[in-house]
Amino acid sequence: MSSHGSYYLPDPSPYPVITSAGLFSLALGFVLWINEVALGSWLMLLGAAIIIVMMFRWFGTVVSESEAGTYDKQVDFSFRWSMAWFIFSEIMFFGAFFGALFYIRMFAVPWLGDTELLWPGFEADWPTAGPEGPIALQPHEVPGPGQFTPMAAWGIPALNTLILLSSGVTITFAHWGLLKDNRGQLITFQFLTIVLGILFLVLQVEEYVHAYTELDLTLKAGVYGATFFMLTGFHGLHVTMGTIMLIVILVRCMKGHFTPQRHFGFEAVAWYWHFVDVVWLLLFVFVYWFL
Amino acid sequence: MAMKAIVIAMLIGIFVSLASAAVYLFRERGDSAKMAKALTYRVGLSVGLFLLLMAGFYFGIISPSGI
Repeated sequence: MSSHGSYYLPDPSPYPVITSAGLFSLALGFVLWINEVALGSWLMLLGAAIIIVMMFRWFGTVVSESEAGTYDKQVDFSFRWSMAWFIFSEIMFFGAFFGALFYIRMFAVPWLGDTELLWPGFEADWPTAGPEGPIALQPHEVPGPGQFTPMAAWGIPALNTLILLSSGVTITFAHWGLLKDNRGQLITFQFLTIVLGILFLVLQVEEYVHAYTELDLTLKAGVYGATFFMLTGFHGLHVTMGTIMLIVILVRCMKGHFTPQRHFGFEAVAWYWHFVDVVWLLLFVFVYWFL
Repeated sequence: MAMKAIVIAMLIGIFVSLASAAVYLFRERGDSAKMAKALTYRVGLSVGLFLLLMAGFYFGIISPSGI
């Protein structure tokens, strides 16, 4: 570590390049794995292991630097702006997927139904797998060959909405606990938020198994299947990342880190969790409820 | 239609409270209490929206895929 004037400069670090190598190994392994190359799964494991080790090392370095009082106002400001750009990229990411869903439902599918010449007999009703895809049934109907059943809002999706909204309530209690310097409230509600996050993920896996084994709703179920799994799948990935972030913050809270005045790490993760919660609410309203 | 308008209005309220919390987060001095308050509004509105959908479903005013 070295500093020049008031501008903090960390020492050169191997973490970014090693983490990049881990990400590359994970992605390459995944590509090989879906192409049924035996080496693929081992490369994925190696990549995941590198990333996990790097997370411990990198997070550990940043946390210990923060606790040592290394970071000044300039670093605090740069953290806040880094978070702002990260949030911006996340909004653009989900904006693209929701944009695709709205475009398909409001424009692309009606256009296909508008002309009798191109696809005679195609009814442009949502949900659809497209003119040549399997036929969409009503929720709760049992699919036969060449059919699929869309996911109903009632059931696991509604339960998961309740769970994620409850986690939004618990993280808010944890937030106020931190601001009021009530460590017990902070740790208890932070822990509950993590439990609810993990419960959500378990139920999401259950929903996917139900979709694949009983509804014939797969990634191959045309444009409905593609948008359904891309939107809910990437949301699930974000809940996974958010849960890991919440666990890191919980460990820090248990170690006595953060004060009512200085707790940017907690604030950033809490906001992220609220964001993931709001994205789910949009999914529930536009993907599950409106169908 | 009225139900749809209420749902959209509540969603806008949720966006506004979440965005204002983000603005407090980005400020150089970090306005913690204001941020927490904005997020509390966000949670309150979200729970309200969910309860509204569930109550509408229970009383037969709305059904999934037909707000």
